[in-house]
Amino acid sequence: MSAATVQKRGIVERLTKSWLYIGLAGVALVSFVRIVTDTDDLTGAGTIRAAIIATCPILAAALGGLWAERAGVVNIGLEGQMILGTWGAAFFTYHYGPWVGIAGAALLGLIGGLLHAIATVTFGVDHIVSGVAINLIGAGAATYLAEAIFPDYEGGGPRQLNGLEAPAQITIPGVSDLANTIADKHWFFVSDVASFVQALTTNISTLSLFVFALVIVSAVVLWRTSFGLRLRSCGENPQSAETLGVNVYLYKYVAVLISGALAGIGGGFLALVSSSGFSTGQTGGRGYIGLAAMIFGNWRPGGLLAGALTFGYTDSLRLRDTQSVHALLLLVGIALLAFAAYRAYRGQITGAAVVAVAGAAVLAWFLLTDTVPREFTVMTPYVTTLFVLALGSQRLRMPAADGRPYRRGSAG
Amino acid sequence: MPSAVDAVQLRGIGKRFPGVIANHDVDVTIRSGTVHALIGENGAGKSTLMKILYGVQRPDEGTITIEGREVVLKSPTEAIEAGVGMVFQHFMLADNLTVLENMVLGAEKLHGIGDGARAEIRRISDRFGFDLDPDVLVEKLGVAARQRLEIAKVLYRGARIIILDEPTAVLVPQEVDALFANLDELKDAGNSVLFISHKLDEVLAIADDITVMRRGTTVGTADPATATKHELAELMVGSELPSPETEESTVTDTVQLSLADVTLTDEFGRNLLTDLSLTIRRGEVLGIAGVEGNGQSELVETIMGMRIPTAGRIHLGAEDVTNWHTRRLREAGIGYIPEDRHRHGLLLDAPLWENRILGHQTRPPSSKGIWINRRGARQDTARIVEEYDVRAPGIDTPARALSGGNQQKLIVGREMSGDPVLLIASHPTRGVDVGAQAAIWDHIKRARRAGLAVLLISADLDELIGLSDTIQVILRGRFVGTFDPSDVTPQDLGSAMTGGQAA
Repeated sequence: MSAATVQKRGIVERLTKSWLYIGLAGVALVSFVRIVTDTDDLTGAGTIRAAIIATCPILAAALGGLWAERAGVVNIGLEGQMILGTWGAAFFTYHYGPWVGIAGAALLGLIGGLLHAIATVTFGVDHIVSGVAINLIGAGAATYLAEAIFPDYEGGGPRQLNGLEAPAQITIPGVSDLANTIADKHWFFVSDVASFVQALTTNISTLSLFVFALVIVSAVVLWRTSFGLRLRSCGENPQSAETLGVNVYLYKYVAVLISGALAGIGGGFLALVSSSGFSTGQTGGRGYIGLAAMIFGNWRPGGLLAGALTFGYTDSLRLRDTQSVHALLLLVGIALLAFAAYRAYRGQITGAAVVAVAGAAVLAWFLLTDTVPREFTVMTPYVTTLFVLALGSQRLRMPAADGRPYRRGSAG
Repeated sequence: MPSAVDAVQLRGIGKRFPGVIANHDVDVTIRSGTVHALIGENGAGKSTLMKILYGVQRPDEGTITIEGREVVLKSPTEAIEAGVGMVFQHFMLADNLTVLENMVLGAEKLHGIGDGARAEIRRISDRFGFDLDPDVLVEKLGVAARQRLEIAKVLYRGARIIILDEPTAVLVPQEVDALFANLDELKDAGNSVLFISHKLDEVLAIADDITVMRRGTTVGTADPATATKHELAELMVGSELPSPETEESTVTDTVQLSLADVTLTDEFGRNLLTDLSLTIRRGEVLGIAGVEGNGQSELVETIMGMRIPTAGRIHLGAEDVTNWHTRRLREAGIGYIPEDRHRHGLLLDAPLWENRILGHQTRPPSSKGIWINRRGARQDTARIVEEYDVRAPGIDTPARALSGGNQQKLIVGREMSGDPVLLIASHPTRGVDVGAQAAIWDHIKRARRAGLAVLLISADLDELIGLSDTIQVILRGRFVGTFDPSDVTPQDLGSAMTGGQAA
């Protein structure tokens, strides 16, 4: 039995290490579908730019989830903290400019995190109950504050504040033009990569780069420092951490505060980059999608980045045209069949059959229709969320003590 | 090498919890460079005393002197600074972190968290023969390796006084010998060891000094060179030790349970159980020996219908019950003492009479048609409390308020109700005191005489050998040997359990 376990882990580890290869295969698949269906928009620089903008808020929320859950606190209040972040970004940007605005978004998110930490860590409230409360409070507080303050501002109203200054955008001149030229050739694979490079080097928001940098910072801090080790130990076995002299409450507090701040930054991104102003209800459930991206990413930075990109990409496609969403059906169909083949290879016949039937159904849909109803395209990101979690949740490994209440002195 | 200054002196230690005096007037002296055994029954106050010495709890009275200096320990951190390290009975390890990460956690300043720490771990591992690889995930380690990691963890922090809480409870005999070799090494290096146990053979084999605790206080010391098991037992319990020995065989010819080539596969396609065949006749106790995690739980869950076997047939009496689910099996007369009474056997916050209904919710006296029969259930609970000597204030007491032994007696009483034909007993006396242990053994013996078939799974090899009519050894989901308890020793079983080699 133990030998089999070792082998099993090995496969999982190899998979996690080969994210790069999976990514490349994914690009090749998308490129193939683009050529077959003749929808250049599928990997156009415009689409990818939109995808990056759609990814960042989800990514920030997912990082927030990572910090909290690695310390053993389930933070379903990400959505509420994000909403607080949108308001904070609007208020502080209006007065002091975009970067103070982002700091303000982080601060408001952090306040949401503080509420969650007080409830879950100090008082031992169930994490889900507290998180849902934070979401309600966040939405209510942001609406109230907007109504109370923004109508008096220039460009403001009870439900929105427009015309906010966005963080600077940067373009890398030579690379951007070269990538543009290659992308326009519509070659297989090469042009798709080129549009990606083009999107990354042309008019990209500094705030986007900042959010991507946060992924690396989080990975390094959580996995390469003793601070990170202590924080993670609180999510794996807090009793053990306590017997070794780790102040578990402190680390949980710090983690949840950072978590809230990151979600707040995600909210700020929505208000400043995704659109040019604040409006109530702007988050549209992205906090939850961020949580899903983190789970899909197996509570790891690289994985949650892949998850956020997947969700961001489908989210951006729906904003483009229904043609692309229709092409997406082919993509999903092929991906499902590949996944079915993989499961069959692993000897999971029942699972493989279910996935294969789903894949065949999606393919049939693609072949028998020309468009996808508008209503369905709006659902795309949420359907993707469900889909990916249903397929991917089989062998995820969450922190062992995630979501469990912890009381000091319970060791031994 | 004992030196003049004692490693630890505990004088007049007392600790009260609401309603309980856990320790009073405890005096223990650990000479430097020795293995000091602290023995006593469950509930004698050993654990509380250790937690006091490790700073997890603070004493209400008394003094602690470590290496000649009187200290006040407010937290484990301060105990570690004073040179005290502790290996808990339930290991304090995070499965999803590596050996290195578990080791350096909380002590990152000593050697960093990178190569410096790695080198230090290798050094400790080589010095004491621990055989630890710093970069392996802890979940891949076996029980014995985890324990060596726990000891290494303590040494890494520079502890000179090492507390081991019932370190042998989870080990097979060969692993115990290896542990004792490690302890001798530690002693030679000048460390002192406080060894908590209630296994007298082991204590006599390893200890230089012995202190006995009973009812929260130290009742005497003994010299292992001259003391006998008998004397220690009498000091511990104040009376004779019970024995699991059964009398003459009561095995009949009627087969009650038979498994034919039962195989169980998990969702990844690996075999948890492979081609298991067994028969239990009425009046027979079949014992299953094995290191934990070798398929015992899966075997029990398969027989109980919580898992459906991938291949093979299960018969209860003449009926094929392979695809039956748990409730139907229980109604057909299977009683089940689960291995973890808190997770599977009881609702801790429900009163005793509600716990009586669990698993019997479709049968009288617990129910009438679709309704729960409160009066019937309560009366029957009172009967169990009486007959099985469950010491509880009343049947409305929540199960949590009972001691482990009394909880277990309630479960045994419940499972023996309704005339079962087969009893599955997983670790029936784990974590219960000597008195309750004897009572549970008596109930199993009596039921066996009355013709009950029993499947007994236990980590206590003496219990297995004493109660069983036949012993099967399970290893990685297969039966690897059949033994006759009348001529088998724990060492024979131990080597079969580990696949023939010494650990």
